Amino acid sequence: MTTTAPPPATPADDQPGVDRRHRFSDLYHERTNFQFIPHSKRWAVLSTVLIVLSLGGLFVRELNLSIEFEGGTEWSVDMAEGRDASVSDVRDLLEPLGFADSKISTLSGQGTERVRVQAEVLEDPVQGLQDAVADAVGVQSADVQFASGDEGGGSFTVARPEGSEVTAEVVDAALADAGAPDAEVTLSDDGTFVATLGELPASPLQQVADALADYAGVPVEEVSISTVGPTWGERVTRKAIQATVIFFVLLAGYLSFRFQWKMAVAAIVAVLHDIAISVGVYAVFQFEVTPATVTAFLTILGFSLYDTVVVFDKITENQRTLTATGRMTYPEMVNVSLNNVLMRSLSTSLVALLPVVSLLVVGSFIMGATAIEEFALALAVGLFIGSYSSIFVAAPLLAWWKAREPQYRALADRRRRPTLAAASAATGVPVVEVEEPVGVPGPPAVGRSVAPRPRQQRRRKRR
Amino acid sequence: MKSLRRHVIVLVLSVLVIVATFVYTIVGSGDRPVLGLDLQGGISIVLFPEDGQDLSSLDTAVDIIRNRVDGLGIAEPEISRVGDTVVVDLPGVKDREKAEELVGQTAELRFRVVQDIRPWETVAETTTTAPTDASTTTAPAADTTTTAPGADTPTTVEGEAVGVPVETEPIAAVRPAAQDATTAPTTAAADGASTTTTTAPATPPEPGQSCEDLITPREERLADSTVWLPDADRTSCYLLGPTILTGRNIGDADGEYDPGVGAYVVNVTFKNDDFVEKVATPYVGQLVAIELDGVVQSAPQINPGITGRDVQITGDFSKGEARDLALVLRYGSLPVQFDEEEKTVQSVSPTLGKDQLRAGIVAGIVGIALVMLYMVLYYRLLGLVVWAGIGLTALIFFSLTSWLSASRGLTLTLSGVTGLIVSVGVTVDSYVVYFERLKDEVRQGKTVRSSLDSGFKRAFRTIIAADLVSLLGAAVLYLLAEGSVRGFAFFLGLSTVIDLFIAYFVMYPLVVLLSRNPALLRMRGFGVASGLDVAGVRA
Repeated sequence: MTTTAPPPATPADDQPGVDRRHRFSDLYHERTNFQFIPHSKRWAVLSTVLIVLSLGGLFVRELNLSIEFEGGTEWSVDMAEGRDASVSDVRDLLEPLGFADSKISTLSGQGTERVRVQAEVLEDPVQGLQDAVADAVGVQSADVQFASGDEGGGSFTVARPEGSEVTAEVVDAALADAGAPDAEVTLSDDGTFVATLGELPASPLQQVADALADYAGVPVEEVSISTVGPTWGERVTRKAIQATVIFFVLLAGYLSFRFQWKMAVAAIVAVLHDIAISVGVYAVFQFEVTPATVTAFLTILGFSLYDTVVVFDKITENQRTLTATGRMTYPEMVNVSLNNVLMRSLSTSLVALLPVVSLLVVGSFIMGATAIEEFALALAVGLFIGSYSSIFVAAPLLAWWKAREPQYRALADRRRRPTLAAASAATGVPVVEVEEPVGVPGPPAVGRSVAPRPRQQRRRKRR
Repeated sequence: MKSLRRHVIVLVLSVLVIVATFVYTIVGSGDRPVLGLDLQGGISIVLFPEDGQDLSSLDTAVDIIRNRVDGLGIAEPEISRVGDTVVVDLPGVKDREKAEELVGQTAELRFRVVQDIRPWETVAETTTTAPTDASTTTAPAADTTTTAPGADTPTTVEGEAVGVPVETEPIAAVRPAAQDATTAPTTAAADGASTTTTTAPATPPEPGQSCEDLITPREERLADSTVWLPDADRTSCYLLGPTILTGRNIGDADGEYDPGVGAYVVNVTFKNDDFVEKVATPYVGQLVAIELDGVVQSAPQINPGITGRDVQITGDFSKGEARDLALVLRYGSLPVQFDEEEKTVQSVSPTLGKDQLRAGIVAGIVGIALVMLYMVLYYRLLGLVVWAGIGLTALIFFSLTSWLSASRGLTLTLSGVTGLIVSVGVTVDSYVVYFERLKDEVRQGKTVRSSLDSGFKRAFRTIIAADLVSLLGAAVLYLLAEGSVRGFAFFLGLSTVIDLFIAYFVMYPLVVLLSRNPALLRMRGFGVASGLDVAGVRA
């Protein structure tokens, strides 16, 4: 390892803007010179595409909110005398019905034991048919009575509203549209429709009730089915959003004070980018959003900001030593800073990801703790995007923006035309517009600090 | 070498404190972290609304109960509306009465005119000291004044030691906005109130009767009757007239510091003008008690001149007292009355088995072991510093969660446990920042030894800059959010503070001590220098 490097931690021979091949050992010894900033456009395109996909996904498919947010259905039943209830038995029972991840608990202390199951029933075919009948007759769905008959059949009974001219054929057609073509609909003299179906599509609501009744050893009528409201109230969501917005405002203030306002904006843009994509992933893949997921998102938000602050801290430090002396343009300096913190970023991300991946692989796949799966998944997605955004969103945005400031534009101009500057100095012709940049002392140093060509070529040969 | 000794002392002291706290938790207090509903179960209470109630506000009632049960946001109860009932599942509460008490207080908040006040003990005795000063929570006997906001210093009249006649003890005064507080404490009440007293079954006070005898039995405490009620800490009892206003009229209430008054006050905003019309105007100069569930929460005096909906209660409140009173005012009244008789209380089993917890913990341990392995492979000897840090962090977390479980009802759910494990991964970043900083300095030509201090200074600035962001987020979310978001903020703040503590008091001295030892520094392939990727010679 060459140790003749000048104060900045760039490896001696690397030139800003010059790509070279890297070996793994370069990464370990932190001698990288990846061109993050010159390729900003790629990352911008990538992020934009991801965000568009995310927002599109969110627009097309709503988030799959869990029962804690949306509420759902609760079945509960008292066990028959002498029967014991166990949560894992009930879970095994419900698994074939597709309700393995419902919330199951047993209640005891007053009389016999009670089994309580809470789950989201997304679509219930019987409910659909009931709605269809109600629509056709022109009444509320609740006015339609359903009774399950023998051998998987059942019947809907509904009174025709006064003055209505709806005929049995209309109801029959409605049922056929809703997926029950073989219904027999009759209209009795007192204005009551009875629709009898020989065969009913499976109703999850009813199936769970049947299974529970069977398990409890009681008739199915004793299973009470009711709607359950959210445990995560709207108020909690509203307050959380309010708090997050206020946090961003204060954060902008803090980062402007500690660093500079453009960094504050870049950091917040990066976090919003993370939130948009994480939410998008959930919308597109229809992962279930639980309260644990929300907590995970907030963790990521903090992690992403933390990561960005560390990167910006390095940029601020290098800004003093590198651009102030005119050695590099702002984007070049940012690129050097990113290479400086690259190994730290990789280490940190890896270290944060290891437990999460372990939860996912060891916990949920190997040991079957499905409850932590979603949580770990949210964290894994978010941590990855959070680490990505610090380097590929926040820093390039900052570099792009700062390079447009007059002083750094002047610096870049001089760097681009060193020979011109030198020539003008030699001939005594003043170069007007590029000289005297604000706060950049010693312009002549610029030209000299550009590395002489031979060294660069030598390096190329060696590699 | 003087500074070396300082590092040794700091290190030994902090490790001692951490370990001692841990040992005390394990052996001394016997507290353990309480597991959440999903892992350990708890108690399930079903509340049935009384017949004929307007159920449209049942959801609001659910919100209010949620807030009441989980003020700190770390208990993670589950409160939901099931059909037309409210189901409250409380984790880990072994004591049923405590659980019911938490959910209870379903009564209405009532405003009643104070007609008489007696100290708790039998009055006849001579030199009894007055019902103390105002230090007790929402002590009604304290000097409490109700004023419109913007008023300056209230006339707080010291609660003098009183012999028999209660009238000399002024409790409250209400003043108009910005008017000077000149209200002389008037006699407490009886005349004004008598005009409104209609049905008055309350026992007339007889000399020598103690509060214990006077207190109206629970079933007779009707809204429109005259009652004897105690205050929260049973220092006095009050003869109260019929209810003149209920908590339903309160829009909002906040306990906050008022710089104009120079003390904590409670600002109340009413939804309508009922307070002005039914309380402030007719009962100027009198004491009006705020009653919740048979307890007088506060009994401020109404100062003249209140015309608006914003009212301020001043008094010798501590911050906590002001907040508690505000909480009672805001949430005291549920919009729905629940039937006490029909309520069911049952114990509820965990929704997840022990196997799930075990899987979570095993996975967490595997994850952290991988982190530790990576740290040692990458930083060699310095990786062991990370091990020590993680170990001590775990001890601190165990002690703190045990203590919070016992004192504040904290419970750990499965996601809480895994969240903690993940946060360990995140806090390892502080070490990485420092070690990478050392590398930078060494690469710039410094020796390891000379980099230790300057590197730490610089790295710690970075760590603080980044941690302040986390702390800011934690503080804002904790203060403004509700429910489990609050719980999250609590843990975020906690782990950040622990991170800073460990970085300063453990990591730094430990790294210095290791690096100052030439043998450890130059150890081939594993020493500090090797971890920092420099040839041992130059270090």
